[in-house]
Order: sequence, then C-alpha cells, then structure tokens
Amino acid sequence: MLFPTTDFAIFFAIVFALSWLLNRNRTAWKWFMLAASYVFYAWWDPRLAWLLTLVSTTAWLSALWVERATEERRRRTRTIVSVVALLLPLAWFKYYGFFSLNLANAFESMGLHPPLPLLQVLLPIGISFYTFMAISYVVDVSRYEVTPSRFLDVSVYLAFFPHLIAGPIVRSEELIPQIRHPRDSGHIDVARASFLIIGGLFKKIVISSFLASQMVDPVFAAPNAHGGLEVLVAIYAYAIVIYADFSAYSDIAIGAALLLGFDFPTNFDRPYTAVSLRDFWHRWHMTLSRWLRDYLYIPLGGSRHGEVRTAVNIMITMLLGGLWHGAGWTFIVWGAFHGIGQVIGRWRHRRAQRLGIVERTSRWILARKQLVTFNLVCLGWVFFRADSIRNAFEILGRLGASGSTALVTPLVVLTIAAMLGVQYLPTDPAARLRESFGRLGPVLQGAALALGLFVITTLGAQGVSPFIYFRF
Amino acid sequence: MQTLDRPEAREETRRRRADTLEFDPASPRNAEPGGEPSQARRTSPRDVFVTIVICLLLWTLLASPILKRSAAAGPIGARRTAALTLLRPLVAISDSLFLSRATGTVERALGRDPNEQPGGELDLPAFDLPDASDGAPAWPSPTGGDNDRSATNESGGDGRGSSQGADPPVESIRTPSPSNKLRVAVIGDSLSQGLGPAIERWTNSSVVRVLSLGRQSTGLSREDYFNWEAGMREIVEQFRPDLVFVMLGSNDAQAQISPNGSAIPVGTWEWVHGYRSHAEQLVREATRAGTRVVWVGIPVVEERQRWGFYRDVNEIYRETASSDPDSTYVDTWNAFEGHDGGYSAFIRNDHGQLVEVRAGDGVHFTPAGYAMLGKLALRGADEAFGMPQRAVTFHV
Repeated sequence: MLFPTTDFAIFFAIVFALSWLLNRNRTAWKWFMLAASYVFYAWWDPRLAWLLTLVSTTAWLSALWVERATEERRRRTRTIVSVVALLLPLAWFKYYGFFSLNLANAFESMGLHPPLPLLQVLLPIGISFYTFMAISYVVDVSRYEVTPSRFLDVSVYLAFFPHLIAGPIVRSEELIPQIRHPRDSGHIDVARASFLIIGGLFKKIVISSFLASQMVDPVFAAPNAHGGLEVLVAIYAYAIVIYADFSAYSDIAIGAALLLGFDFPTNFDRPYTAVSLRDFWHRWHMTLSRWLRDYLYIPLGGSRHGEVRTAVNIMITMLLGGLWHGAGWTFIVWGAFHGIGQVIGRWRHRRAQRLGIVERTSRWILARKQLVTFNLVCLGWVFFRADSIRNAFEILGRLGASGSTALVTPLVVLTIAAMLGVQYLPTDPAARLRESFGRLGPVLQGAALALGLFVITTLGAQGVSPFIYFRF
Repeated sequence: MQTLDRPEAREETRRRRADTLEFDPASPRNAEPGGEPSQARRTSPRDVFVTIVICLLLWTLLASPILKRSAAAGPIGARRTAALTLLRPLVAISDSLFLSRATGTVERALGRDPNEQPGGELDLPAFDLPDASDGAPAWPSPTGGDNDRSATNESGGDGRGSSQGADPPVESIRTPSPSNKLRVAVIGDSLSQGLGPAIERWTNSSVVRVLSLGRQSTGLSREDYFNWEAGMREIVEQFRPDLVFVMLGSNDAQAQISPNGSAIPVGTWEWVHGYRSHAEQLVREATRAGTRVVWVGIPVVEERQRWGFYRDVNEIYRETASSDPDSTYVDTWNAFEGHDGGYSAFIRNDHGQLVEVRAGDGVHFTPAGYAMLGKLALRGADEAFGMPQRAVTFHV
C-alpha cells in the first residue's frame, strides 16, 4: 500500500481507531497490528508476504539459539550462522540475478559455458529493511544488549507497517519495549505528526514528482539530447528528488507511528548542509548509517587497528552500503565514491591534527565546505541515478556541451533553490507554526489539514509513482 | 526491555562505539528516537480521530470533482462503481454549496484545468517550426523534402515493413538539417514512455527533435480517460511531425468507454470493430497530413493469459498499418522471445553478451531493453521509409 493514496488514508483511519481501542489489551493489540501490517504489505503484492513470516521466524529462533550459548566462541559462531541464514533470502531475491548474469558473461568471455541458470527473481518490497532489522535484533541478543523476545513481539517489531517498506531502520531495543507496553493515550503529539505527514505528502506528490518528470527523467534517459546547463540542473534536481522522495517516506512513517503512540528515530537532518561527506552520512538516512556503524564497521574493527585498517574498514562498509541500495555496478561505484571521499577526509583531518593546524570555522569557510560537499554528493548521485556506468559518464560528459536550455524553467530553478534554502533556515518559525496548530481544536485542525491536502492534490501529479526506496 | 544478562557487555559495546570514530554521530540527535517533541497541547486518541475524520471528509468534499474524474478513469468493476456511487452525491453537495466553483477557481489558479480529461492534457512543449522562406519545408510531406535516397534503391526495396502492398513507391524520409530538424513524436502507453527516450538516444539531436509524449495507463479502449485520436490531431497540427512512433495496447483488455460514457464490453465483435476503427482513425489523423506512422507492436509478456489478447490486437495494428502506404508495423513479439519461443527476461545484444532486457513486472523493459526496442523501431522506420543516416547514431 502506498502512503499517498486514498486506500492508505482509509486503512489508517480504521487502524488508528482499533489500535487505540485495543491499547490496554496488548496481546489483542499485537495480533491486530500484525494482521493490519500484513494487509498493508500484501496490498501491493500478496505473493511474497510469506517471506516476511520466514524472516520473522528465523530471527526469533536464531535469537533463542544464540541466547542458549553461554560460551563466547560458540555464541559468536551461532550469531554468524544466524546472520548468514537471515541474509540468504536477501541474497537470493536481490542479488542472484545480478551475480549470475555477470558470472555468465564473464565465463562466456573465457569460452566457458557453466550451467548457471539465469533467473529474474521478483524482489519483495522492503526486504532490505526488514532483513537489516532482523539482523540487528539477533546481534543485539548476541551482544547481551537485549533478551530474546516472544515470537509475536518479534513479528510485530519486523512487520509494523509504518516502517515496513522503507524504514526508518528501528532497533529492537527502541521498538520492542514500545510494542510490549500500552501507549500513553493522553499524549499524542498531533501537531508534530500532522506536520510530518502533510510535509511528507507535499515533498513526495508535489516536489519530487514535478522535478522528476520535468527535469530528471528526460535528461537521464537521453543525455545526448540535452545541453550542459540542462544536465547540470538535472543533476541538482535529482539531489532534491531523492531527498524529497525518501525523506517524505520517513516523515510520513514517523508521523503515522506518532499518531499510534510510537516514537521512531529521526532519519534525516538537513543533509545538504553537511560540511563533509562524513557529516553527510550523519544527516542522510541516519538509521542506515547507524546500522552500518554498529553491525558492520565496528565488527570489522572500526578505527581501532591503525590507519590502513580503518581505511579498509570504511571502504568495505561503504561498498556494501552501496550494494545494499541495489544490485548494480552503479551502486557499487556510488558506495566506493563515498568510501574514498571519507578516507580522504579522514586523512586530511589527521594530517591537520599532526601538523597542529587549527581548522578555521568562519562563515565563509563553512559555506565553502558546504558547497564543495553538496557538489560531491551530487556527483555521487549521478552514478546512483544512472542506469549504467556508461550512462553516468555520458551524463557527466554532456556537462560542457551546448544545446537546448528549454527544460531549465524558472519554476524548476526556484523549486531546487527553495528546497535547498529551506535546509539552511532556522527551524523556529516552523516550530512556532506547529505550536499554533497544536493549540487548535480537533475540528479546526481537521479543516486546516483538509485544505493542505486539497492544495497538494491539486498541485500534485496524476497518479503517484512508488517511492524510490521501495526497490531497495 | 527486560533486564540484561550482562550489563557490562552492553557497556563494552557502548565504549567500542565511542572508540570507532568514523560512523559516530556528530549530532546528538542522530538517529535517536524522539526528534523534536512539540510543546503544543497534546491530544487524546478521540480528538485525533475527530481530526482525521473531519480532515478526510472535508478533503473528499473539496476534491470530489478531481476524485470523481479519477474514479471514472478506473477499470470497469466493483471498485469503480463503489467509488462513483460514493462520489456522485458528494459532487452534488459540492455543487450546491458552490464549492466546486470555488475549488475550480483554485485549480485554475494553481495551473490545472478543472475540466481536463482524467488522463491529463498533452501539454506540448514550445518549439519553433522552421520558416518556409529559408528553403526548408515546414510541413512534412513524402514529396516535400530534399531526400538523400529513395525508398527503393537504398533500403532494401520491396521488403519494407508491412506497407509493401501499397501501390505508389514510398519515398524516403527527408534529410534533416540543424535549421529544419526531423520532427519525431512518440506516443502511447507506459511502454512508449520508455521507447521515446530510447529513440531520442539513438537519434542525432543536432538534426532530430524527438517529443516523447507517452501517457501512463492510456490506450485506445478508454477515450473517456485519454483520447489519443484527439491527441494525434493536436500533435500533427502543432508539431507537424515527420514521423510518429505509436506503441500502446498493453492496458486495452477492458471495455471501451467513450467520453459520453457508453461502454462496449471486451471480447465482443463490437469491441473488435470499434477498436479497429480507433486504430485506423489514429493512423489517418497522422498520414493525411503527410506524417509517417511506425506502429510498434506489443512484445511477448511473461503472463501467458495475456498472449491471446495481445496477439489479436497486434494483428489489428499490423492490418491497420498495412492499409496505409505511409504507415508500417514493427513486430516486437518475436524479437524479444527466448530460445524456446516464450518469454525471456534475458537476450543477447549486438555484441553477443547476455543482457537483462525485461523489467520485473514481465511487461516493461529495463533501460537496456528499451535501447534495443528503440533501435528495432528505428530500423523498422528505415525499412519502410528509409531513415537518413545522419538522423541516427547507428548504422541503419
């Protein structure tokens, strides 16, 4: 089920009412929420709903199995086996096609013809997200951070519909206690939830759809037909499209969870104000950054084994982070680009420390760093968006070309500038507006939200395309 | 959370996280629950439910004309009937309260025509047609261009597409120039939305202008949603294309509904007759103005239940294209078949490498697949009408 649809609006109104009615009876609530979440998931494509059950069962059994091992070495072995078991469905559904095709072509170029069946495997939506959450649960049990939970708790933790399709990636220690205990029915932050949901819908339906259809899609599909200015603006526009699209999903998910009494972690913090690539990853898809840090980078050794090993660990983490986004060479290059950027940034920082150079932090230096970082991030997005490495270089190669500028309309430029500018604005006015909205009665709040929705419906595109992160 | 068995282990993990600098959060708010709690009045579930219900009801009332148009555009069935039954009285209430007029004004102010067809308008981009005084023909015509070759001596003569039965020899497409570009339009459903950019990629943008005008969820069955015959008329009048690629039909296995609401159920002779008339009219709208039409057939799809319908409509397209000397049909069904004559997501490219050409839905293509489809369509145009070599970026 897509968030910006009338189907979801009706679904949510029903689930909201029943969820609060069952709030005190947690067992009934859990069964109800599990059923509602499966309906939400199967609405899109019911064929692979069983996979969610399989991953939930594997995670639950694995945690029990790991917990029973008291000896540290055995515990670690069981954890590794469990993580591999949880990764198997992801490997099959997401990566088999990519690797088998590349292997088949590689073997054929050597004159070999191995019996490697080529299969196009249907990718279950959200599999990358709930697999990562399942791994975090088992590893947290292994690290004594949490104790194993009941099957029903684990199932609701993984299937809870607000985060199910595209995150945020919530840790078990954050969500399972909230699932177990009744939510505080006297303290729903309706103002914050409403602003998140309406803002998310605006970003997705109006901003992302407009820039994608008017600027990004035509240029990336046929770069040879566009001049340098159009290509440059399309690259900047894509930075806004992916931010507006993905942060919109996170905002709606966090807002919907808030209305149900749940607190999700923040996933975006004005990412295009970052002063370095490292800083960017502290602001972009923060729950993925945190996951990569806790369950990949730290187990690899983190920064505890010298400079070279740290650089290798960063590269491995970012390469796998890139591959997590999609089975394609473009995502691997994107991950490598961010990895190299972070390694260089770290090296420069260490060198400055060694030489005793004090980093200046004037406004202009900060602005220069932000400008450089934003453009580096945009350069990375070219590989992320392109359908092949060749396509990415074709796009970059057109940057100096002359040609049409017809797509670069004032509205496109204004939209990009506004979406960037708003990240630099102080948050106080928005907070004050939210406070004022919060003081309204429910009838006026409903009327104000209806007007907001009407404007979004009128400005928005016909039909809503799926969120970009659905395919990840 | 329950008490941990080994709190010291938890502390150890925290310490290790603090040691490992690179992914440590710079911001204290990084990925922690809570965000920025609002200081405003917090409300009970009952109040929030009232807010949600009022919001949805009022929005439905305000947007009822838009929602009704959207519901009417859906496929015939229980969902469409239920939505229309619900929305008709709401639209009546909206009308009686003058809300429709007010929201229509808002729609116009926001740049949308409240009376537009549900599938939207074509919204052709601005472009300058060449001035006839510079020696270049502004209106496409089989005889109007400074052709660089004839159809019969350079492009294979008698084997050109399916229009070979026509009596007069078909002349080549004119040789374009930067001041008088070849004008190409690509129309149809979501498959054509991928075909358009692929054709753009394979053509030389300095002498060819491609307009990719495909509309999602359109076809010839639902003129009440989007009318391609009227669309073609508009394209021909405003853009004066030399060549139009048509690719549609994948959404057409449903009742034909005209703008006045009359319906012809699918699977009847009336449906076939009506569908053929729509296809012929679409071609006629273009060719009577001298525009050549390349009708790209529906490729083999994964779902075998659809094969019968798609083969039947492909046959209609082929016959329609054959009946007019300025149109041709390009078969894609066989081009994308696997070794066993069935559907395959992987085929070999020109270099003999295996390529994933079909999207996961078993109908659409990957970018690599669309690139092959685009080349196939342009080769079909060349076989039928003779594409000037300088117009394309590969050897035709």
